[in-house]
Amino acid sequence: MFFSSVRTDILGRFLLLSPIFFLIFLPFFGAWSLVILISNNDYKSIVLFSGNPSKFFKRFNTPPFYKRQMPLLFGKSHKTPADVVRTLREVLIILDKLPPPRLDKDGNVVTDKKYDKALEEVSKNVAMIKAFIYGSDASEPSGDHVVQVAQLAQEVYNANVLPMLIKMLPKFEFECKKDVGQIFNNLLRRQIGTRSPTVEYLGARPEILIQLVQGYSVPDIALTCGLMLRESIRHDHLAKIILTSDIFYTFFSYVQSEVFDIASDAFSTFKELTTRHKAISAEFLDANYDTFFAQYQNLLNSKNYVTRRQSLKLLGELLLDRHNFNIMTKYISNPENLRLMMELLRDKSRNIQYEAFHVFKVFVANPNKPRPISDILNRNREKLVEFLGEFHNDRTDDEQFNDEKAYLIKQIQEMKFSPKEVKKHKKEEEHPVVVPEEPARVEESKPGPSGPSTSQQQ
Amino acid sequence: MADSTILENPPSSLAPHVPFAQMIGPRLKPEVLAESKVPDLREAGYDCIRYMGTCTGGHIYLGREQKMGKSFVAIKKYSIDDIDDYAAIAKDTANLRLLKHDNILHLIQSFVFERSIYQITPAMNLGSLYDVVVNYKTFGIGEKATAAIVHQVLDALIYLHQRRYIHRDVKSKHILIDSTGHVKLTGFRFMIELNQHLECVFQYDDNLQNQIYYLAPEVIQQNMKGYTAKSDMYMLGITVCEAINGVMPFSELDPLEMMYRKLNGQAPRPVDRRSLEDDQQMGIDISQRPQEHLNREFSVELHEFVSNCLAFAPNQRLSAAEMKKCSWLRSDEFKNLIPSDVSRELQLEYSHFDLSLWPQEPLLSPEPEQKYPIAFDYTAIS
Repeated sequence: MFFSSVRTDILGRFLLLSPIFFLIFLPFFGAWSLVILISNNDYKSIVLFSGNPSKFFKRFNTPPFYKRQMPLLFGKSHKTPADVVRTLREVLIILDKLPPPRLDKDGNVVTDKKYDKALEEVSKNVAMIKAFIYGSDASEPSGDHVVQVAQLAQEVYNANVLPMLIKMLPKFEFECKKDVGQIFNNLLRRQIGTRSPTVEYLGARPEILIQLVQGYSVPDIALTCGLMLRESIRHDHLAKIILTSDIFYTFFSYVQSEVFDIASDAFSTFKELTTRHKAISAEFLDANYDTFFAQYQNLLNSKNYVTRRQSLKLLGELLLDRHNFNIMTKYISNPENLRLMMELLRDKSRNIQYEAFHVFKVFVANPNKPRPISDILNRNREKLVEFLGEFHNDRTDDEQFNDEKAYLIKQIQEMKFSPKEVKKHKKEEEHPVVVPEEPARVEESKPGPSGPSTSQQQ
Repeated sequence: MADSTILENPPSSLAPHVPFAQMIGPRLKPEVLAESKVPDLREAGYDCIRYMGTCTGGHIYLGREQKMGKSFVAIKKYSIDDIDDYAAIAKDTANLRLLKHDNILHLIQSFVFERSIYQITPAMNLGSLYDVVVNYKTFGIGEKATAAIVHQVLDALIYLHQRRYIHRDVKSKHILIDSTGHVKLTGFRFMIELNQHLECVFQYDDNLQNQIYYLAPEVIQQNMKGYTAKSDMYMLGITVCEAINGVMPFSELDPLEMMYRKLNGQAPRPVDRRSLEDDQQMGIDISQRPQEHLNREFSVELHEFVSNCLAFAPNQRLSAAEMKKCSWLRSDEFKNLIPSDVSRELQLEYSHFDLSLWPQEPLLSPEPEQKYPIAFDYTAIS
């Protein structure tokens, strides 16, 4: 009894350890290669193996099996970019058909197992694509990286995955959204010689860009879409697509978004669009001057203080760009615009005042002021000189600003004595309808030391 | 290597039973205290309760949500007219929005109201690690508490580094703690993304001078080699020293000398009996050191951890993920630390941190519409 129990014990132990023995002895039997074959589902190789084992084994002469990396055994990283993109496409099609999760009566999200599974698959495959491009955490991008990325990009174009990814972006998981953004931006930056294949691809499919702009209306994806958009519009061709589309005017509402980060992101995209490619944006502004500036007026009067300040600053930049000369001349010939700027000069915020000054100076410096503009300036001459005399005097270190201010004061003071003005005034004196009223009004609104001097000069 | 954390004038000890609310008072600048009124955010859906402190370019208030469980929130207010760098705040907000991790501060909302930008984040009632150390832990926090905090900070850093971000602003003021021991990283203003294949960046931001005492030598060097995510590890090392010693390393020096020493490879150490004895052997007088420092002894692994973080050559430092598995954090005493260990080990009187005890401060009346007194006349001349 005793003896037999010991024996069974030894036997039992042997049986328990047998898988380990099996693994240890496997290489000596040569069967280890079969394990690899089976795990890879590589049936061709099995056929080859059974046909001519010695020829087959030549495939494995480097490196030796014990130096072989583990992933080969499990076949995980063995998927080609084509496989991943194909799977991704299939999952996306499934996801598109599934109904999105709804809220039940109590306000809880009803989760659908299939839907969650599909989302998970999408995240997994997108992460794999990202790993092809950037290399995963464990492994650096491998040597044939360039080939792999090229292959990947080609597959992405062929399978038309990008439009689907962008369309379904709001559904994806949090990290997956950002991964899509990174993949998109990376593909955009890819160049073959002077060609940028992704740019050409997007150029042929303007709906993708339009979808990206619309992404600003969905808070969850707004910033990711913003990143992708800004990367796209670095290419003039793609910027033009957005500028010529009606979708461009939706930016005027996005930049006034209540969410600060979305508004500021949308604004930086808006600014990129209108300033980056000078020729294209000048052409656009010239053609759509009325629509654009009618909408722009809303930004300058916006309730959102940040929008107001940023748009005023951008206006200054736009007008002072020499590409936009025509636009500037149009803008500074409208007395309504001058009026708005003079009101903004009086704004309670010093920053707004300062930015408004940079637009206001263009009105004054214009050598050929149209009549309505010079009228307004003339009428407020004393006030303006006094106002500018006190305007931001503490900016002593800003030489350019001080020079400009001095120049403006001089210009405004001299306006009266310019020969044209004198002639006009003489003409007006001949018709006694207009002139007598002017000094009287000035005196009414502000009796002061400036009042008598005007009357003396006249 | 000399121990550079010299405690010439140990900060005066604060009585531990003084409520938090009274303690932050004297630290405020007088001009800030004068206007201890809170902005009226009722229209935006928040009740602003009281002033908490300043942050770079803004003020922090304690608030409470009007709806949604009435939880306490921290309200950061950046007055747009006062800030120079609007873009930095926009970037900070966008970065916060794009990150989602348990140990990273979650942005509830950001909006523009009147003339300020507001960021709403959950209220972390102990404040930052800096607040805790300055107010309650004159001689530094314990080793176990440090380990528990470092565990959580490392998790956040691993998350960031995996996504190819460099935080660039890891410091004790950016490590927030609440009374349950949860630690959250904040301060994403300077976070930068690595580009495609390069593992390093060359952007030497002028605005990095705020955290100059934390910066890694390779960032200070500003050379052609650039710096990598490892520079965050250096900043973490300095932060650990600060927390554990109760005083900022190099803070007694002026910035120029601090840089000189850093570039010569001098690195601070946690101050305990072991490092002080080393100092003594080098002929430094340690008799003036406080008893608290002389009597305590940290594990060798902690010293290794800090010296690895503060290694001069970036490639000698372990990455955040490797650091998580270092011998200090894997040792029996310090592995598997959970958030509640932070709160237990800090040994603070948590009843003083009950946010609901704080009284409502008066609301600011809305600013009057002030314009330049002279009105311009636009009537046409005709």
